[in-house]
Amino acid sequence: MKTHLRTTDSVDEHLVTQVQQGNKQAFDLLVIKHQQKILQLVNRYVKDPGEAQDVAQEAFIKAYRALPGFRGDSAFYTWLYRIAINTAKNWLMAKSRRGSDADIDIDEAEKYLNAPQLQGQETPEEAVLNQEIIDTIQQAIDELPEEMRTAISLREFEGLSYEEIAQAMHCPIGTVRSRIFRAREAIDKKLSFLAN
Amino acid sequence: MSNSIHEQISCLLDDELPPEQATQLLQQLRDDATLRHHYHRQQALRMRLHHEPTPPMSTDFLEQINAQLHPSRPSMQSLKAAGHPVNWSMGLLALAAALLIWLTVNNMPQTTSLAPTTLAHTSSTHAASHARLREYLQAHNSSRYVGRPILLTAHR
Repeated sequence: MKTHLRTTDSVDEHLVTQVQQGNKQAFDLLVIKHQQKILQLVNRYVKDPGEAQDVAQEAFIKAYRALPGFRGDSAFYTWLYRIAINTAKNWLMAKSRRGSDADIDIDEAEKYLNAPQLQGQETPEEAVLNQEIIDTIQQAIDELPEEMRTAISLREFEGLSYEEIAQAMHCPIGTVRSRIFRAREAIDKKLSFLAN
Repeated sequence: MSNSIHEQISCLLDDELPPEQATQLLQQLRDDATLRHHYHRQQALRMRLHHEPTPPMSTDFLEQINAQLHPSRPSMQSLKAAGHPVNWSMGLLALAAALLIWLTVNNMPQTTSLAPTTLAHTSSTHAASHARLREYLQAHNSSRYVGRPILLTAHR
């Protein structure tokens, strides 16, 4: 997993430096890279998807404005995640003050974040769809050729790097890369009918 | 869209792309909304694999941030996202055409200028205009018209 951290840090570090030197467009790349994770994080606090998106965008705006003072004491994404959590908490507090949702509590939000099983506020229809997605993914993985199934499983469920997978499967890294890519394409194809 | 870019996206998701390539790919993602959609779809797929929630995300997430950060300056990317492809060659072509028109107008004999002020200035009398037109036709070897009544009617 060392490769994983080194690559992420290196790309982020380069882009942060670019922004700090005045290249505003470099920030676009940081947004693209992290927006989905940030939105997912914020969504754990802010249940309304539209509001979650606004809060996530606000977090990026705060990060952009604070970037000149970022010294790199922690990884960029750690710093960004902290800003996102604080922004989400502030949003919850503001909402609580407005009294539109009397049950919201920051401590509760913390518990909620650390207990995904408590997040089950989905409607019955959403629950059925989610289960269908999970079943489809499982079926798609089961139907993969063995070498693709092994590669994607080692990557996604065991967290191995490409290099470690190559060693385990006795094949070049390029082959690992290709097998994981094709496995993802196959799963995505299976899921596409659900999206449609 | 080639498989090789999609394969690179797969590597980017795993943080297995060399930093230089990752940066280049992110630039491509910024400039290509379709590619960016694919990238976020693959990210969502990964979350699904881990049974994590995948909140819906608008396609103009980045544009909305830029609109707040830089309200007076629409980015190239936002222009593209709005369906206005930025085509530098078309811009240069338009500039060249404008330059050509300007040069043509400024090098024409004064009588053929289409500028309203010039027309007003030069058509002081009908006789003067007629004389200048005659001079023009002679200069351009239009012997067919010289010495005959000049009828500026539609040619049949």
